[in-house]
Order: sequence, then C-alpha cells, then structure tokens
Amino acid sequence: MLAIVSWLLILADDITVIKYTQSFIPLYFSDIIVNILLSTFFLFTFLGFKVEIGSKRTGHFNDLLWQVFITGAITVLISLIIKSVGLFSQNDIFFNDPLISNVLYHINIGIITIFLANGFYVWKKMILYQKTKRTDVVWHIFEYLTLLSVVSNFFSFDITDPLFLAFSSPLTILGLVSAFNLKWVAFLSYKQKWRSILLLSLIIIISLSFLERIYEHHITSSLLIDLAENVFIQAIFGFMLLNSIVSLLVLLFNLPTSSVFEQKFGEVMLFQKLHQSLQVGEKEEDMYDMLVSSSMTTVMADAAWLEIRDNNGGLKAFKNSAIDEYDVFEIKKALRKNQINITSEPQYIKDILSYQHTDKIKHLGFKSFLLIPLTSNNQLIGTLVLLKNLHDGFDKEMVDIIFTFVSQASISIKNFRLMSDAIQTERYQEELKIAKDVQRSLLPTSMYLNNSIELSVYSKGAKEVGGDYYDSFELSPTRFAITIGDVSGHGTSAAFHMAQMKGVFQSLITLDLPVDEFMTHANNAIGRCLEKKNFITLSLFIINTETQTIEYARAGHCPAILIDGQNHTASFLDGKGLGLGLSRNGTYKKHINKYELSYKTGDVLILYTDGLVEAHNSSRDEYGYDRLKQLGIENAQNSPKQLIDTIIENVQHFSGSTQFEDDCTLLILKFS
Amino acid sequence: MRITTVKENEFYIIGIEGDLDASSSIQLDQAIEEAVANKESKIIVDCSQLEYISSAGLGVFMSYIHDFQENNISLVLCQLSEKVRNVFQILGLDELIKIVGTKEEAKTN
Repeated sequence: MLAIVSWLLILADDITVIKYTQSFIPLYFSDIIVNILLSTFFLFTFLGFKVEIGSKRTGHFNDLLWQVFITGAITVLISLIIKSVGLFSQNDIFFNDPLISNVLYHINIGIITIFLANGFYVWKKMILYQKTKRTDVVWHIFEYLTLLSVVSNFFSFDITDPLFLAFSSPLTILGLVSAFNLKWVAFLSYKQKWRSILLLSLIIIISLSFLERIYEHHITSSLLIDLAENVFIQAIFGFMLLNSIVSLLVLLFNLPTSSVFEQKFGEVMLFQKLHQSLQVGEKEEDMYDMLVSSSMTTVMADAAWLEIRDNNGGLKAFKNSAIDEYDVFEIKKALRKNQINITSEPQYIKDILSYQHTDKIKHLGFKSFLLIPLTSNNQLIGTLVLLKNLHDGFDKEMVDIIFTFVSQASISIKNFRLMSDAIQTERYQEELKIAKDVQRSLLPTSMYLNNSIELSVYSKGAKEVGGDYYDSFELSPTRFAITIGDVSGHGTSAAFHMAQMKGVFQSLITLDLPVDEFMTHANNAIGRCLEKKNFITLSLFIINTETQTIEYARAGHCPAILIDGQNHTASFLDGKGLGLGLSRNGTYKKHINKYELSYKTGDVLILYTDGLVEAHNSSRDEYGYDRLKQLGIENAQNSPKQLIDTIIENVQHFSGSTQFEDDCTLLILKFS
Repeated sequence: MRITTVKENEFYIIGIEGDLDASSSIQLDQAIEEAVANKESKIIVDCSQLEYISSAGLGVFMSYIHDFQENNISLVLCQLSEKVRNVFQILGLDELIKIVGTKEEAKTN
C-alpha cells in the first residue's frame, strides 16, 4: 500500500515539477522529496515481496521461476502496450512532451521494480536452499547492502564515477559469491531442468529488454529520475542477470549427468519404500511382491521369480513376474543340468545360451540371469532370480544393490517368522492356560463327608496340564463314594478326557452300583470316548461310616494305603484291576474285582496319584511306595492336614525340588 | 531312547533301551507298525534295558492288543526290571499282555 502511495506521489510530484519547469520556476526542494519518495517506493515494494515470497514453500523451483517469468511477461506486455499506443498515435508531441514521456517512464519504473523485487526474492529462496551458516551470512550482508544502496538515490552518479564503482564492487563480489549457491539445481528432475532452462532464458530476455528500455530512455529522453544512474536498480539487474546466466549454464552442464543422478535417487527411494514395507503390520506375502517388483525396477529386469522356503526346506511361497510358472520349471531344470546350484553367494550368468541343455528355454528369449540367495543365520531361505533379454545385462552396481536389497529383505522375513512363532507359542500357552483352568474347575473345591471322617486334599498341577482327578458323592448320610484317578497323557487332551471322566463318574455313581459293576460300565463309556492309546486309572471307594466298612475297586490306579492307627501297620489296597479303556472287547468284567474290608477308629486311608510316588531325585531314584507307607505309619496319629504337610515336605526334600514334574494329588482320610 | 530290531528265526525281536516316554513312544510305535507290515506273527519285546515306562509308552502296547488278538499275532514282553514290571501289574496290563522272565521263555511261549 505504502509503495503504491509513494509511487502515486512521485508521479504527482513529477507532474508538478515539470509544470514548474515549463513555467521556468525552479523548485529546489522537490529533488529531495522525490528521492525520499522513490526510496520509499523501492523499499516497500521489496519488503512486500520479501514477505510474500518468504512465506512460500521451498522445493517447487519451477513454480518460483514460473512466477518470475509471468511477472516479467505481464510487465513487458504492459510496457509494450504503452509503447505501441504511443507509436500508434503517431504523435510527436506524445514523445517530445516531457510530461507524458515522464509519466510513461514512471509507469515503467513501477513495473520494473515489481519485476526486480519479485525476481530478487525468488533468487534468495533458491540460493538459500539447503543453506549453510556461511551462505546465510553472505546473503544477508548482500541483501542489506543492496537495500542500503537505495540511499544512493540522493546522490546523482554517473556510471563511470569512481564512487559509484567503489560502492558497487563489493556488491558485485557478494552477488557473485551468492550466485554460485546452486544446490537447488541438483534437486530438479531431468524434465524440470529443461523447463527451468526455458524459463531462465525467457527471464534473461525480459531482463535484457528492460535494461534496453532503461538505456534507451537514458539516452533519448530528458528524465527527472534516471534509473540508469540508480545504483540500487543497477545492482539488482546485474545480480539477476548474473544469477540467471550462471544457473542456466549450470543447468545445461548438469543435463547429461541428470539421468544417472535420478536413477541413484530412485534407488534410494526404492530402498526407503522397501524399508517401509518391512515395518510391522504388513503381511509377509506383500513383502514378497514388493521384493520382486522393486528388484525388477531397480535393475530393469524383464522377468523375475522368487522362491521362499520354510524351515524344513519345503516351498512356502512362489512369486513370478512376467514369466510362466512352467517356464520357471524348465529354466530350473536347465540350470540343474548345468550344475548351477544356489549357494550363499549371488551368481551371475552372462548368457545362458552359451550353456548346454538350453533348447527348451531358448524361445523365451532370456539371456542373462542373476541368482540371488536369501539367507538367514547362514540358512538358505529362498532364491530371487532376475532375468534379462540382454546378453550380459547386469552390471556390478546392479548386482551390489540387489544383493544389499535382498539381504535387507531376508532379515525382515526372518523377523516375520520370529514374530509368527512368538504369536503361535503365545496362543499355545494361552490354550494350555485355558485347559488348566478348565481342569482345575472340574475338581471339587471343598470336600466334606460327615463328622466321622476327617479329610484333607493336596493337589498340585504340573507345569503342563495333567490329568489327575478326584471327586466324591454322598450316597446316603452314612455312605459316601470317593474316587481318585489319573488320565494318561498331558496337555489339552488330558483336560478334556478328565472332563469326560467326571461326567461318567457323576452319572454312574447315582445308580449306586457295586463298585466292580461301576468300573465295567465306566470302562465301556470311557472306551468309546478315548483314543486307542489313552486310558484312565481309577480307584473307587464306598465308605460306610455306620458299619465302618469300605468297599472298593481298583482300575489300574496306584494302590491306596490303609494304616492301622493302633497297631502301626499298613497295607496296600491292591488286587486285581485293569485300567479303564484298556480292554474294549467286552471282556473287561474279567479283569476287575470288588474288595471289602473294615476299618477301626483312628485308621488312616491314603489316596494318591503316581506323580507322588514317581517323584525322583537327581540320581533318578523314585520316591516309591515304601517310603510313603513308612511315613504314613510314623505319623498316623496326626491330623490329615498335618500328615499331608509332612508327606509333601518329605517328597520335596527327597527330590530336591519344590516343583513336581508330573501333577500330584494326595487325599488323606482319617476315621473317627 | 534307542530301539533295535533283530530277526531270530521266526521271532521278531524289538529291543528298547532307556526311557519310554511320550516323545520316544513314537519310535516304538513305528517299530511295531513295521513288524506288522512285514507280516511278522511272533513279536518279542526285550525290556532288559528299559529303565522307565510312562503311560504314553503303555498306550503303545495297548493300541495293538486287540489287533494282535484278532490277527493271531503274539506279543511277548521279557526281561522286565522290577520297577517296570510293577507298572504293568498296577495297571492290570499283565493280564492282557504276556510277560515272561527270559528271552528263551518268550520263544517257547
């Protein structure tokens, strides 16, 4: 705004001055005022552009040059229109009248200044692209000195004046220094460079035409303000021209290397793209596609295929591009016949047709092959093969780049695998945890029979899911069924088998069958549910607290121990009995017996699973039945709870570990 | 664990050395399967070097019992250590599988 006001004021002032001159009344003060106004106009025009262009984003150099060119073109057009209007009118007065010629000249000053200001700050932007501290400082000194040169408006110089030279020479030097900061040129693509050359040429032409205009006026007209004598305008013109010419030359010389640079730049971008594709979240499959397509573009291959092997050497993935799966097969056959095998080093075949056995692949037209192995931990995990129609089509740089590329991808594939393994393991552990929880929930949380039986339970699951089972059922207020069992095997299946066992027990026990019959039925039911290799051992006791008798059957389970509390003796409740599920041909009945015995007050019944007696020490000795029996006799007077603590402590002491390898259950009943 | 197989006249002798647990029982399973495939009808399992047998190991024998009965294949275990024999007895398997002391006894049976 201020710039426009100043310009209008100068215009107005000039008109008055000229009027006065015409009337031969000199006005001395107007000179200074005119200079002040001119300087203000210059300064504010420049500041305006400084702010406007400064706010623009760098990087679009062509857009910036385009802007300079457009400004120039418009200004040239305006000045041409003015000139043509003048020519068209064929009026001598129009030219000779100092008033009109001065007014026109002022319009020229205005547009030239706009053109210069625009150009100046666009160049600033380009020169300071990727600036260093030094270039920044040099530029700022130059910029401020140039702006300072506005002051020279107040003195009238001739171009040849030594003072004029003294002031302009440092400016020229600084301008030269700055003009050679042409980093931006390197960031242009080949196409952009051509466009820049064109724009620069046009800008130079426009600048020259302006310069010509100024000097034309300088020589022909009598002017109040002569730009030709203005250091500021001279400096900027010089700077612009110099810069444009230098840039033009640099661009020209850069053109031949541009395509190579662009290729290298493209490779960097490809690496980045590949790297991004390796980030977490992308599918392994996508990465294979990426690897094939990126490799092909990088070396400009005509076809490619990729094979990925799993840890056992089986084919995990196959990707082909621009080649048939069948042709791949034929090529591989030909390679094998020529003893070309994939090793850990990349292999290069200059011309496959110079080898033997290539009749079947001749028609495909592929000549040079590049075979790159994908390795992880020195293990071959795949092969990438690139094919070209050219003889000796791959150079060393290409091979190096692709090899680096593929190494990077190999690492990613390895990471993908580690990750999926980790997820698998985690899922497996999660499932085990669920199985463990299910199994735990199947065991009774509290067991109470009646006041004449004191009962305590210890049950400890193994690290894995085991198959220990115990349960009880009240047949009448004085008759109780109590059972303990062990499902063969571990893991999730053991938990399910245990669930089946619980179902069988809970349904059969309500029938109140004799214990051997119970076992026969249970065997039939279990035999139908379980796999051939699986079985369940089970002991069932029916305790009558009124008659103080126990009826029991032992289906392959470790024999319970009954301790005589008075005589300090103990006996194993063994006897015939086959595990459930071991006989499935209807003959089970022959292999199970029912036993009955009576107990006395103070007697102790110890039920357990093999995890307890099979606990072993470091020299692989088992805890065994006798140690358990002996310990029971010695501590029979204690409560079941105390007895359990004593036994468990003893077993742990024996094995030297607090963690049982198998799961371990201990049930102790004391009769009163 | 190690499995050895020897043919002595009409007898197919499988020797087991070491522990027979969940992981090693697969090998025993394969050895018996092989014998069946070879149409062997007299199989003797030499347990003199068998130190421990888990329920999975027992399961292998179990899975063949019915097939063998139906197809007239005899399976005899011999030279069991006391500990291993006890495992068979507790489970009641000694009623289903013939268990003898020496290899000669196994052959005469």
